[in-house]
Amino acid sequence: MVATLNHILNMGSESLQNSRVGVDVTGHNISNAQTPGYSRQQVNLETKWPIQYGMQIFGDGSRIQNIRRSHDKFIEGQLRREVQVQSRTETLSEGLKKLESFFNPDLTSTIRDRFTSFTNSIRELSNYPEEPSVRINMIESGKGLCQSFNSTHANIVQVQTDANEEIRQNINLVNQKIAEVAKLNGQIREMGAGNLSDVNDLEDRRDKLIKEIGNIVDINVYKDNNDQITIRGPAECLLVEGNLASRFMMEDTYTVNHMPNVVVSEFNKERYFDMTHNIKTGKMGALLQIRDKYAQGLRDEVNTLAKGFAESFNEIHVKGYGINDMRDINGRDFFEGLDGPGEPAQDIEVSLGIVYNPNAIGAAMSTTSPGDNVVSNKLVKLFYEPLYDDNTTTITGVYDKMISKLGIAALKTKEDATASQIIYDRLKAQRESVAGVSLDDEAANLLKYQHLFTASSKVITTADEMYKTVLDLKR
Amino acid sequence: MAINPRISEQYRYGTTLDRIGTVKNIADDVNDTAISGRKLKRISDDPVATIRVLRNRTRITNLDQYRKSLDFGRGFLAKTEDALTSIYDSLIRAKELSIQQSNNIYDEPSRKAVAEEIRQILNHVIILGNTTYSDKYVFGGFQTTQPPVSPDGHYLGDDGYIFVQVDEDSFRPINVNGRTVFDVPGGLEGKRPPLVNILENMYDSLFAWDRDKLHQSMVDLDAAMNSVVTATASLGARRVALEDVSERLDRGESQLHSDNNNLEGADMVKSALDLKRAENALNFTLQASSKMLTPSLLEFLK
Repeated sequence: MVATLNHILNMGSESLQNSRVGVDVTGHNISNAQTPGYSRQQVNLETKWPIQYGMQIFGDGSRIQNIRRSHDKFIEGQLRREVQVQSRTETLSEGLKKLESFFNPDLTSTIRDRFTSFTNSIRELSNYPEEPSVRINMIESGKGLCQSFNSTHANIVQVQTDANEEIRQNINLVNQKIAEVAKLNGQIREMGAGNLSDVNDLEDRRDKLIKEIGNIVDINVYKDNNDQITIRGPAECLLVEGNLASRFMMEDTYTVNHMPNVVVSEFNKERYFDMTHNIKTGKMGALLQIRDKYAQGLRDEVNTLAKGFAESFNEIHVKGYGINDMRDINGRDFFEGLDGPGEPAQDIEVSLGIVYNPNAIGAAMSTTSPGDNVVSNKLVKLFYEPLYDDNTTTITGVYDKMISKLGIAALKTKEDATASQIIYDRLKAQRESVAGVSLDDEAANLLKYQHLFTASSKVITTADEMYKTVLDLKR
Repeated sequence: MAINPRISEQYRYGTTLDRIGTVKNIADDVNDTAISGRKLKRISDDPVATIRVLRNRTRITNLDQYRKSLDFGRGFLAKTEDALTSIYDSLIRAKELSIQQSNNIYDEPSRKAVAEEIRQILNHVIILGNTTYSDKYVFGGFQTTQPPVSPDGHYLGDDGYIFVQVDEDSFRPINVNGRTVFDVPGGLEGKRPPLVNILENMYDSLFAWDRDKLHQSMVDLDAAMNSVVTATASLGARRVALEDVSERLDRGESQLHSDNNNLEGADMVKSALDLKRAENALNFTLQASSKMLTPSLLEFLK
């Protein structure tokens, strides 16, 4: 029945209830104003179904339709895609910065500097081939050159090792998040079943986790009608489906030179799919690129440089005769260590026989001629003759090409990272403008619902007074 | 974005921090440039300029070595030239004496006295032939560690030419072939004896008077003196050429230094202005941010 005092009382108390819910939700928003990934929630009130009575149609008050989060799916999708680019370019830029720092122009002990001092020590040898001190100086310069190769090689390998470590940590992190998303899928399905409201907080949490997973590895996200999210990873492998989760794993490292692969085990079955070449974006994509493309490429180039240089040097040096006790002996290599067990740049060193007896340095073209510097002059020419790359580049030219390739890659990645950061920040701002909590808004809401509460209680007290009046009708 | 976008709490704090961060980054970079005085701190700052800077630096270092080699070469040539000049002077004296003796009839004591003088000249020539520069015998070719002229006149050196690098792709020979002076140069074998033997013959012919032998040795002496003159002339030319190279190296160096400065050095005036500007920007941003993070509506509700 409508328009009875009971009906009025009911409407008042329902309205009270609604306003309490409003303040509740507002309080929830305020306390989550600084929670990252939170979408503000709004109470949607609607009128109840009107009731027909007699010749009139009466309204029946209001009820809560649902509590919905303000959330723009389109922006969320864009953010998911952009975070992958942003984290990839940022990580790549940092990795390249580290690699290029081994060749910075303000360093004075790079391979190039040592080439210069080695060349000049040979020039001095040409002036005084009979002098033991000059020979010792050349050996020391040669040792310095080998050391710069060794340490550059070691530094590059360290970058690769560090990258492996970081990949391992990120794998642990991403596995945790994947498992959590699967769990949330299950919980959202349970809680959401039969309820009119969406499970807002859990969905916020799930969205945040998905973005964090996207930060690390390539993903594609699909949502179905039951609010379940399926995440497919690199090469469209299944990472999350329903409440099932896959795991990433990394092979153990067997040797120093072994670059372990990253594999995925779908839903914890015993089958592993090798994903190393399919992970292209996210932090892991960048780390794999640094490890397998940039650092490895640099390592290969340094090895080629060391081997190529030392071999051409030795080719000339074997023709040279020594002095004093070595005056009729030639055929010695100056540099050794080029054929293993390690890599050329790692193992290159001055031949121990020569270190032990500087007289063995072959400067002379013929036996028993102490002032003969023909071979040492030939050795000097080696440094500025174009012998490499099909006779177009000098030895320092090869080095210059190597580092300028690196520098240009670093520069380009820096610019990409800046551009991507700008886009990402703009998307974040857009999301915030839709989903973010503004304390001014919430303050106004508080006022709104409080007034509603006050007004609704007024309806109740009015109905109450009417009751009293009616009861007083009969004494 | 909507025309009037909503400003949420996280946006306010987030962007404020971002803006402060950006300004601080710029200030940091400007500081770094001003302190180090370099605008080229990493390869990626300017890859092309980096390569040029490195090449210039190598060239500057090489210049020092070229100067050392030049000094060595010039010293070697000077010492050799001195020795040859002294040898020539001695030979002239020997020639004078022999002309005197051949024209006039002197008695035996005076002839023997002249013979003694010839012997002195011979010894002097041997000593000059074994001149050293920086512990290297200059007339021995590649045999620089032992005296090339033996006491009995044999040339013990070899035919090596010592080349020294004084510039990119510029190798100069710095020694004289001792064989042309002290031994019989190729093609003239049998035509005249080595220099010391000529003087030896002269001595013999005066000590035990032999007119024909004296005449023969005078002819041989002329030929030997020709060799000395030829050798001296070629030396002189080489010395002049080295002076040229030295001047050219000096002129080139200052250009390299200024080139490098332009490429990698920071302009101090610009740095100072940038610093001031960055400081101001940081101050203003911080002030503006504090105004932005002011109260919300909540604080005005009772």
